[in-house]
Amino acid sequence: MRRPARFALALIATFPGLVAACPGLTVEHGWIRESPPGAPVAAAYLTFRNEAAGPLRIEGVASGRFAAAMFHETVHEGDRARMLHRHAIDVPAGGQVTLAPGGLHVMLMNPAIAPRAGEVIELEFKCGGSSLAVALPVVASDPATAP
Amino acid sequence: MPTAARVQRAIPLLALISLVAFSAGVFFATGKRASGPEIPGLLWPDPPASGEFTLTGGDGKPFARTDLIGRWTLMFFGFTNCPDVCPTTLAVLKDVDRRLGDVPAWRDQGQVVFVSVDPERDTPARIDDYVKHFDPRFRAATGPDEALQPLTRSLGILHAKVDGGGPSGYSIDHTASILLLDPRARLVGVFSLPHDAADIAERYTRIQRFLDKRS
Repeated sequence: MRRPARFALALIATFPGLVAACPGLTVEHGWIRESPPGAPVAAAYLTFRNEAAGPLRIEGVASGRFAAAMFHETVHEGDRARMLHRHAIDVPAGGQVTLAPGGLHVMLMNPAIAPRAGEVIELEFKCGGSSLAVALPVVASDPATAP
Repeated sequence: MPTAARVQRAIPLLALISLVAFSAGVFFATGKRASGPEIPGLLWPDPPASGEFTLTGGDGKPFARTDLIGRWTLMFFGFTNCPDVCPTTLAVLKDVDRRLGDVPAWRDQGQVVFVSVDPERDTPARIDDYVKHFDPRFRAATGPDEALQPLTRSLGILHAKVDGGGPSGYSIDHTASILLLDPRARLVGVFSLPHDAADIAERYTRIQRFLDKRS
């Protein structure tokens, strides 16, 4: 990658508000569940809000802290829970999509260091040619303490 | 006798048989309901008994049916590579345990048991660390498929390895209900999704009181 391009990407990641990153997209109420020790996976939950005039497609997610990240959805068939891989998340114009426990979530795999409550971890969402970086707090597993 | 007449004569008899069968159905259906209170998830009057099984506990020692005897057990089946349902459910169970803190039967005899259906990746040490993150009193157990089967089959638990898609390797579809076993290791309650701690604690208390009155 040429240096100016790399610089531009770094700028997008560092100052998402300054560069047109995923125009119209905002992330609210985001949090990552603290992983039990040794757990190779974690989940992030949040709400995508699209304030643009047209629909937005979020095509991927990444985080430097994890070897891989992807959108998953827990679906229930009777009493059975299944995990389905979602390649993208579509947010309608003026609408929102919520990722919450027991449904859609960001699956975070193989952390370099397990996420601990109190820290903040950056996730980067890809849409079209740009991306939006957001920093999410890690919170303990107890739902009473979850935001 | 002509066929038509024979059929005509048979009609009242058939009607009588139907009426008896219907009444018996009503009797057994209502009788079944009358023998247990209306508690959603209560399995009564014929709770299935846990089969004889021997798994390995999180402490490395055998975990068997005898570990269920004399205790009220809330049991959940999952695996540690499960990022959403399993930690969410264990957090709910932690909340249930907290809410039942002043219920004597639970305080003295209650236990939460997490059974991993992924023995390939979940070692006893790993599941022990996993559950103790939620509560140091929570217990964990796992074992190879043939050791899990007597338990899962007797309790109606389904689990199947499926392609997880991408670098996550495989995933496991699994029954996500929370099970309640009584001190005789009988499955007396099934709490289906979605799980709400206040609701589970309330239903547990009602089921336990109902069974205690009968014994």
